[in-house]
Amino acid sequence: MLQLDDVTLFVGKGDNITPLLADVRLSFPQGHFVAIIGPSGCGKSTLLKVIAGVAQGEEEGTISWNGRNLSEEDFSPSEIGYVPQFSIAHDDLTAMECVQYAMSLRVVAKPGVSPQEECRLILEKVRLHEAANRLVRVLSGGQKRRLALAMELVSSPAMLLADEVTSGLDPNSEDEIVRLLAKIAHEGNRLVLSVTHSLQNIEMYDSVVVLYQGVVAYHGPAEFLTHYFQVENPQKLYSQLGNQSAKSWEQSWQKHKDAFLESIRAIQDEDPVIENTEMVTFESTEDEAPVLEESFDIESEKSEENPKTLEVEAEEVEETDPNFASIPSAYSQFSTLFGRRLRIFFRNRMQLLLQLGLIFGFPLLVAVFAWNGLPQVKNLSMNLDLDVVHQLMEAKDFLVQASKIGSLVSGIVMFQVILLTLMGANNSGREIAAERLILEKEKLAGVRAASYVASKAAFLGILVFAQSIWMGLFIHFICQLPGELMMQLLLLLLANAAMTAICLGISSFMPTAEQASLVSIYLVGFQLPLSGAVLALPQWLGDIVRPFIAAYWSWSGVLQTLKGERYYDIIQTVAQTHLSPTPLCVWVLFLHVLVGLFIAWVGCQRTRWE
Amino acid sequence: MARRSRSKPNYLIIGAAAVLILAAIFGAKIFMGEGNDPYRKFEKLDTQTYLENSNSLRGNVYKIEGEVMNDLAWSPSQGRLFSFGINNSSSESSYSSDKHTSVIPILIPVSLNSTNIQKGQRFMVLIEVMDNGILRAKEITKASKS
Repeated sequence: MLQLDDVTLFVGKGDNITPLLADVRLSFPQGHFVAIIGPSGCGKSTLLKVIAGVAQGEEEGTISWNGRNLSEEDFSPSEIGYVPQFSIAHDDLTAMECVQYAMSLRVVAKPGVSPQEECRLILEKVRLHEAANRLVRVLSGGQKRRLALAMELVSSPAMLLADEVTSGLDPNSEDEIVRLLAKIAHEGNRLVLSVTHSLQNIEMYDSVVVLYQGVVAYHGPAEFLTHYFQVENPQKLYSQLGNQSAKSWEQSWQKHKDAFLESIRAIQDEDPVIENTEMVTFESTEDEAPVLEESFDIESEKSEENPKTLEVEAEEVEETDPNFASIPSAYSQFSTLFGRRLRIFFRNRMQLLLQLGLIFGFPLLVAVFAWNGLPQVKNLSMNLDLDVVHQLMEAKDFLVQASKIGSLVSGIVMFQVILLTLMGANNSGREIAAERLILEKEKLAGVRAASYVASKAAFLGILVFAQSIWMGLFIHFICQLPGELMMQLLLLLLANAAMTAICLGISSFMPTAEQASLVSIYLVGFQLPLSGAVLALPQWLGDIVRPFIAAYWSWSGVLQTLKGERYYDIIQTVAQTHLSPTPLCVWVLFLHVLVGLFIAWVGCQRTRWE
Repeated sequence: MARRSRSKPNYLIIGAAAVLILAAIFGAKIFMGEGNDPYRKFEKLDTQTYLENSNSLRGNVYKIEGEVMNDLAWSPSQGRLFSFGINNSSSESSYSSDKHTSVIPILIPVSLNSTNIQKGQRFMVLIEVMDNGILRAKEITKASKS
């Protein structure tokens, strides 16, 4: 049983505090199918979010589930299913794959039961089995909503919250979805709360909650809705609501609800199939909503049940109901998420081609500067007997040569580092922000933030490895860049990984994928000027910004690998910026990776439904 | 605030952040020291003392950082002898080529022949003061511009 006592939700601060819900008192038994209706902006979806525990704002009041206060002990992931307004499936997966992944992420596989078969049955239940192998992107609106329901049913939740799952559907599809929800409620003994704008199938619901400007104006059987509001048909309800203030509707309902519901019970006891609605009488005044004289309080009766009995019932449910099966392990969720990410990647041809273009195209951009290899260095004479004029001429030539070759080698190294950081930003800038709502939905269903970030890290790690190693090898062999190859590859890989991880962190905190992408690109844009590789920064500025510039550490580290070569000395003569030792470069880049993943983990743990 | 985002002290996050910061500081300290100066455990050669009385330093091992100036001599059995310019701001020696730079000879033995030494390069050298006062390199590595 779900009970809401004086639930209020405020948004805003100071003088701008606005209540979105005010003193909502409702209770619903199990196996009940409820419609939450009301004009736009009345707080229907907000009410669902408050129940789910994901509404933004300041809450007051108590929400209890089977006798337990949810603010003390929240829903377990398998107790609650939430079908939001937005799509919770990836476009590049088939309907069957979506349900299978949902099941793998939420439910521990039962021995002797084929998950494939279970998923097929669920799809059959929601009548989507014929479209099981179709990609989500080609499903119709109604099919996508059925799929969303199917994905929630995998954990067989005791309560299902459906937020406008019928909006935008044709009458037939809407009819089917409502029937399906009713079936889910009654056959599975589930509480199903469905927010809807449509009053077309209102009689299919066991009860209807009418919200108006954040207050409850009615909660009772659908067939008495028209009587209570004194309207000819449900379609005229919303215009009737506008005839009185929200406060008035609320007071009226609070005052008369007991008598009203009691009278309904009396009528239902007399004749369970209510046909003669004229039996119901109204009493209305100018400033009050119309109400029934007689009453029978179904809700009060349920809420006054012996608490001990309720507790026993709850325990029985926990013992027998598979809803309370524990969620899969962190590793299991990681491998499922990783597998899903790989499948989406390989199925998206554009993404695949873009990656191949970057991997093979970017090294070519670098190589054109030294396609025939690096020029050789002519050394200064070391003899003492050289005349001064000759020495000066030689020194001048050496400086010119140093300037050209040093800049070339330093530039090639920095160019490949910058391109790798650009690939890093491209890898992860949108990775989390673009599917944030799906992540939030999956977190609600029990997916761990750590598993999610680990799966992203593993997937991105593959891209980073391919991009960096190919870049390093290509430049090493085509441009004949000398030095310790393994260390160079490590430093290039770390630069790419560092930027990828930091942009993943940015992606986890940004509200939209576009913003995350933009910030990531800005970050890459700052790498070159702040690295000091081209123009020396003022000492104080360099000391402040250098720790955060991945490109500097990779560039500096790679140049240090040339220590055994003449190029190193020449670069030293032209570079205005101090080169840091290789172990320090590796360490700082490694820290960048750790910090980026840490930020991503913290960002993913935050709730961001808006 | 939403039930699921109510602020409660997340000791895991705080702990992980603290470990990360400590690791960063500790690691940077180690790697900065090792990377910048591989011979940091050795004393720097006082060039003024050496030039005035090399005998007093016989048998000792020091480090120097300097720029290769000239090739002074070469022997297939002994190795190469180079002059190095050593920056020494405290030096007021009359042997200095200018106010801050002392010039000293260093013998690079045959065992270090693989090191390509050219005019203008900067090196860090671990040297031993031989009985005859000659400075012989034990190890040599390129120095970064500070």
